[in-house]
Amino acid sequence: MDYRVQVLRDVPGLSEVPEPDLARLALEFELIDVLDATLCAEGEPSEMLYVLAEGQCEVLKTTPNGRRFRVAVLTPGCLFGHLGVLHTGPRTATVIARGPARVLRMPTTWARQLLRNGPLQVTSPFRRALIVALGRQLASATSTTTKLAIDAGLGVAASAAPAHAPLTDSATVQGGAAADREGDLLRAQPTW
Amino acid sequence: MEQSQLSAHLAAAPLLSTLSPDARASAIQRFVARPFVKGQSLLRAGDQGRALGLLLTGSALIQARRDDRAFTVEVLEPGQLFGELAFFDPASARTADVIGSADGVAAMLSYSAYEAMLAEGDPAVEQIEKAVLELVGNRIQATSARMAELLQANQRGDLFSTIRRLFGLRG
Repeated sequence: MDYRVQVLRDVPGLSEVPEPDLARLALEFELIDVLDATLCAEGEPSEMLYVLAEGQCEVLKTTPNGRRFRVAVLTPGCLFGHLGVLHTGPRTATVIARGPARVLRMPTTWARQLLRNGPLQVTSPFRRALIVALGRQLASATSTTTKLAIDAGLGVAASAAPAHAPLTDSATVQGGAAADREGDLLRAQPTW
Repeated sequence: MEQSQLSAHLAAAPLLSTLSPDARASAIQRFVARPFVKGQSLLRAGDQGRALGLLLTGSALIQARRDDRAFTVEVLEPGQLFGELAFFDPASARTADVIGSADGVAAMLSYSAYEAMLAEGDPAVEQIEKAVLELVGNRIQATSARMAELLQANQRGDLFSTIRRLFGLRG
């Protein structure tokens, strides 16, 4: 199996993609080795989309008063620089490889073009990977916002919120099991 | 909700409105209507679920939890999607509660229905993925901007009033 396909298989959102489709997407990425390199610089133009294949990267943000702090550590399988594919603004954070690292990269202009004009077998898994990367980032940002709001006394009692039984998928399925819950979900009758 | 009413609501939703009539009619058949009442949970944080929701009528709150407290981060209006992360990521549990704030109807798309559409090359797949990508892109921009403002407010010491302003809290 192509090394790039193996790397992409570990990207969240791509675990269920058929191998031929993943192989076609893999062809769009270039593999490079770096050492202590700055891959994204906050405030600079967004020129590349990356997938970390090996090694570790730090994500740093600078506060308005100039203080820089680490907000995340990236491990293999992480997609980063993805906001630049959707929005043309500057980088929102700095990403630095700590020690030796291998990354897959694709120019953001090419990524946009691919999303516009590529075949569905390539664009669909690509969009899914972007959706999951953004979704996880959103979940993290929402968690921070929620902590601030609740610490400020603006929360409500969580247990008081659902006055009725859940409408949909209340059963739990562990981890990455690709169990499809809608069989129960779509048969479930409303409980009122 | 009758199937004809569901079809009419789905046909009018921005998600499917740009599809050809045939493609739209085909896509509509994949959704299932789920009526809900005010206060009912549509999705519950921590659950493992693989259905994408489209609010057709009524309204719903997206509430994030921390321990035994919850905070409303967004109010969903008709035409808006929810449950997108767990739909596309089998490793992600539901990250927030979605709770009806006015009686309404949601249309749910199961992941297996989506997979079948994908296998058939259904043009609605691309439309749905594009809509979800745009949605999360816009949400992350809005949330990041809010978070930056909140972190600055926290340093200034006026977090309480800033949150109330950003989230439109009254009273």
